[in-house]
Amino acid sequence: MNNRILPEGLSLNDFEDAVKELQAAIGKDWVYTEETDLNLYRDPYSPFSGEPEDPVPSLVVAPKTREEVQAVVRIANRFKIPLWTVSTGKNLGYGGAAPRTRGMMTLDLKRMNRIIEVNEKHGYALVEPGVSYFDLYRYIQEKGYKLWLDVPSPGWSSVLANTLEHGAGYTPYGDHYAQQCGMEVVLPDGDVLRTGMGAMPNTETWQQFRYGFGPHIDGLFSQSNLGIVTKLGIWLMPEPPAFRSGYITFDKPEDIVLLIDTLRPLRQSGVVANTATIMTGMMDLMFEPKTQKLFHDPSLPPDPKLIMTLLKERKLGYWNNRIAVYGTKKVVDAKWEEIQDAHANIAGVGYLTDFFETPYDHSTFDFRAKLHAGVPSMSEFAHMGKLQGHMFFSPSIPFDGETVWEQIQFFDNIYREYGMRYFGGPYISTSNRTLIGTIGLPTFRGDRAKNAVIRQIMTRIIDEAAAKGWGEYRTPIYYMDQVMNTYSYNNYALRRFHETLKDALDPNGILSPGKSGIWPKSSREMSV
Amino acid sequence: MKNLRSGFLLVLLLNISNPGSSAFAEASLPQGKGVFEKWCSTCHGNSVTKPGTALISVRTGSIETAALETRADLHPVMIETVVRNGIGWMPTFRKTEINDEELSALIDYLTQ
Repeated sequence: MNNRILPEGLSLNDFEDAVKELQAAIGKDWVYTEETDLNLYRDPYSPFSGEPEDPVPSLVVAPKTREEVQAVVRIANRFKIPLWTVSTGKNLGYGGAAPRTRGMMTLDLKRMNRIIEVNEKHGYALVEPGVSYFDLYRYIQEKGYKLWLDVPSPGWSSVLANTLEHGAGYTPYGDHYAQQCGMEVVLPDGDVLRTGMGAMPNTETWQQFRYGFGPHIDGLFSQSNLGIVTKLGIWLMPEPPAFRSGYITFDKPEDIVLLIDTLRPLRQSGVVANTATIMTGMMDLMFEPKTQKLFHDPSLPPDPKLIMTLLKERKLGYWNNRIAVYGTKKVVDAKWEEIQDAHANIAGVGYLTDFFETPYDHSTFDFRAKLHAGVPSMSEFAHMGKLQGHMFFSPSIPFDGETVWEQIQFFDNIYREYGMRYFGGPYISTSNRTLIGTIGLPTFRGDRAKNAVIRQIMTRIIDEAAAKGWGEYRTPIYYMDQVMNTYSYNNYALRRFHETLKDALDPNGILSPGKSGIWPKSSREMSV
Repeated sequence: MKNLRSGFLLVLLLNISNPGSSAFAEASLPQGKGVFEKWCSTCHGNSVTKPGTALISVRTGSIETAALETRADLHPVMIETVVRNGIGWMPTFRKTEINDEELSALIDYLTQ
């Protein structure tokens, strides 16, 4: 037990006493204190890889039940040990399973993996934190329910945690938090509450009516450190009789303006109900090992002529709008006709789509159709090739063509200063009134020099984008303080409000200090 | 590199598996196949659409020599190290995901 990492301010004796109590509460096998086990909780995509600042926990606890979570929280309170919560720990690009700072105790909820209910009639599921999209998909397939998930690109994500982090997918249910209905939450003092109708003991509508009575507080537990969500209800889409999935292709870089301005009314009217996703064709070329190196090797700067030739060979556009429409065949055909009519006056537009009808054979779908049908996979990771990791800069930007064009030039100018290029996208139309950019920055295992440059770019673009009014909806753990501080209206009134709640509900500052840039009073000086 | 080195050291100290050499190893094959299907097949299945297989095939020259279930050159130490330390963009897998017994069964399955 010598030379071990300790939670901030805790003596070795108290640490050892806490470990004994935790072992008694949840079992010796589920309390990890050995270095080799703790290292499994480093962020594999960390921009601090190999550096002392790379966060690693002092110990890890992995409870199986809500009651065990409550016991852990009470022990953490007694010893004043900060407790960082992860679910499946696969929030890659945003921190993975790593704690916010070195020495925190990590609460790993992967073992809480019960699918408590899937209700086909009313179209919902109630799940614990450790349930991945793969788990829920397999369960629904085994039962033969005619329900679809909405999945993010990596299928190993936690359904519960991705929803709490405001994650996105690609069907009409693509705004995951908008499908949330009812939570069970362990509070900082170890008490438990259920939100919405769940507060009524005999309710049958906990997962059907989200508001219940009184202030709607569910949002306080998303991207939050006010409670540990141990159950979450999520609405599922009834399987549609048919859908059309594919690309609308656009020839030239500047076509992005028309693409966005044509898509906006289609999204607002609901003709395009899914989370349409806009990417350059270069993203598609990155899926192919043969063409991948054109983009991953800095010594081979992209040749525009070669890229356009490769795209034409594949019938891809410079820009491609990944789109899907759902319903009966009649509805799908009508919507598709309306979409084509809306694009009729744009020169060079093409269509690359497939039509599907029930009964579906998911194994025949390509990965794009899988995403449009809520079939989890890992296929989108193929574009990473030999890259070792990434982290995401994810701003919310106006759903406006000229603004998107301005955004591309703005970021490209910054990237060029570092010998890199940014060509725009991907843009995810999570809501039908804004676009979310998910801009990946590469990270490098153990390469301090390269990671230092990436960190410098990240720090710059957060502040410079905020000056334009483009704020991040989600950020890697390392940048949570900086991002929260960009939401600075009226002398940081939003952050101060969060801090007031935090201090009232969690006086010992136990739960996930620093999450979303919200620190408890006891450690507020750690904010940067 | 420190993590990688400590991972190798851990494996050598534990000496956790010797491919196909015991009744226990044979008994663990169904469990190992289950672990592979649950955790590995989505990236390492026998198809060009699986991103891990596709990436490895660039080096090996074919899907068959890249897909883990058809490879003949996998070593227990390599499997343990990659699962627990990750490699490239493949992340680490924690013991709450694949525990030591399951990892041992996976190794037996992939090295049979």
